[in-house]
Amino acid sequence: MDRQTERDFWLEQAMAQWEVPLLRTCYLLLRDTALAEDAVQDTFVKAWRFYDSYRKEASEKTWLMRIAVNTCRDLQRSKWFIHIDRRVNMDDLPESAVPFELPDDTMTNAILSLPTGLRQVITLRYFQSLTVQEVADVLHISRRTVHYRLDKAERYLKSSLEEWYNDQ
Amino acid sequence: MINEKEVQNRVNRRLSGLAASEQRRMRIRAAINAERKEAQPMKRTISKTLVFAIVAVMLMATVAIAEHFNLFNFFGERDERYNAVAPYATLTTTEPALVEHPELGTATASIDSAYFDGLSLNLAYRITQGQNVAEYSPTESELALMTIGDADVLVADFSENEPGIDILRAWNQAVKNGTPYGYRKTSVYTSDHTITDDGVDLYPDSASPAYNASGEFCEMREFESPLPDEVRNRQELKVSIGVKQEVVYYWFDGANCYWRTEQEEVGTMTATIPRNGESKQYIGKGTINSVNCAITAEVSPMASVMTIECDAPINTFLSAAPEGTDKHDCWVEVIAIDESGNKFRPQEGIMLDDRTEFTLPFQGTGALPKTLTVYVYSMWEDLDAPDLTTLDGITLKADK
Repeated sequence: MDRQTERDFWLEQAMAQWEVPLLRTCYLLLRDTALAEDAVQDTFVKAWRFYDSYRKEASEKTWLMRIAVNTCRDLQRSKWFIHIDRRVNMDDLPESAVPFELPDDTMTNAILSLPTGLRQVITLRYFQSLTVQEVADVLHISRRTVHYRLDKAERYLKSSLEEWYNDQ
Repeated sequence: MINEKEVQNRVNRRLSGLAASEQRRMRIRAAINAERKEAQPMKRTISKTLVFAIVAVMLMATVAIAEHFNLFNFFGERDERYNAVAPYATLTTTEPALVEHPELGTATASIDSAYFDGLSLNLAYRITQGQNVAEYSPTESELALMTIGDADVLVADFSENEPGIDILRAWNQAVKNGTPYGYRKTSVYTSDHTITDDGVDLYPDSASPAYNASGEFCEMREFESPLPDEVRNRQELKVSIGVKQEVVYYWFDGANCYWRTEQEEVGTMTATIPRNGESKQYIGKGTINSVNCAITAEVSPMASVMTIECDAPINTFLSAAPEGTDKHDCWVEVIAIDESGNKFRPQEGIMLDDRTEFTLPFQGTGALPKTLTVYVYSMWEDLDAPDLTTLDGITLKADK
């Protein structure tokens, strides 16, 4: 298999595995369905473009998440996002494929209401299950900063989501 | 602690409408095919002359780095602003923390360089011989002291150039294969807190860690700008950062992971940072769409804070968005451009409303400008950025 074919083959596999996790992650980061769609497309195009330089030192998931986070940052910088903290509004989401309950809505809304930096670490650490080191690598911040932001984000969330915390 | 599974289940249910789509994949394939076609002629356009020029620039850069290199240059590879202030990022004094340990020899943690201009503070430090990783197999009594770890512990995290990387890779492979393996990681690390000699705790706004080619741990700390009032006007900052030592033992018996950690404080590294940069006041007056506006800015190479005051509410003289546009989709754009065309990027923004005065922080460009030309205009979704030459710009000059 030549490199071109291998890259195209990889793309198909990557889309099958990561399309949905990336789309939902981008939505949590951007709080906008249309922009999340743009971000996912850009993420796969960039990943395909730089596939040859992917050294597999990071997991494929971490690598793609890093590209996605950077893509979302670029979108936020180039759009009006940089200037205003947009109100959380999930009305533009497509109709749910499975029934959801009020607590599902409350939890998602609480995460979407976090400031950007805190939302990033909560999304990557708890929604995408990246390790603290992986979150640090994706966001180009230290592990200590990740811990600091997680701690701060948890305190934000704790006031409204007390019942979902355990004390362990 | 957040219940991770609960978060995943609830958010996934709520966002289940964001599902896989063949149309989306077709769009991605189409975008890639378009890029593939565009890429073909691009390859042929790189001439021998350009290759020579690139090599020449690289050679010049190598000489420059060799002549004057500190960690600001190292981190400048990622962020050009650090390169720009690297020559000024000096210290008056620096006292390292020396840590003696049988596994490490003598580890040294020292503040390498810092840039302080009253508005902003950036500090870089390094830890030499700060990590040792060795294979480890616990005795029965040691195993009894260890805790069964969670999934996080199973995968070793490592970075490029990190000492002991082969053992960390071997651990990950053993966990994957289900074969017993263990390692012990001895490391020196620093406190999050950067404390001035009179007790002001400067918490980093962000921190960028990396291992250099020599395997030294390096970190750049960037502090929130503007700095706290009590340190802004100082001519020097005396700071200290606590240094700690940690030994972590990991053992995987083929099924379960066990771990134990020992930590202790082992000293502090200190430095005296001169005010090695300056911030300047800039002022300017002019009209925007016939309304008088005055702008004052405090500008340093790494940061800026700008206040804009107008004689009328901004939503009365900046263009309004088309009818039906959500007010949250309309915002005020402020662009500040220096005499060389470098842009100061705003860190926050405001909506188009009835205020007459607002203040915005900006990220610096690495250098103090001679002049700043500020453009204020309204934007909304789908509107192309205007041609700045058609707008009223207000030029700011240093206040003498």
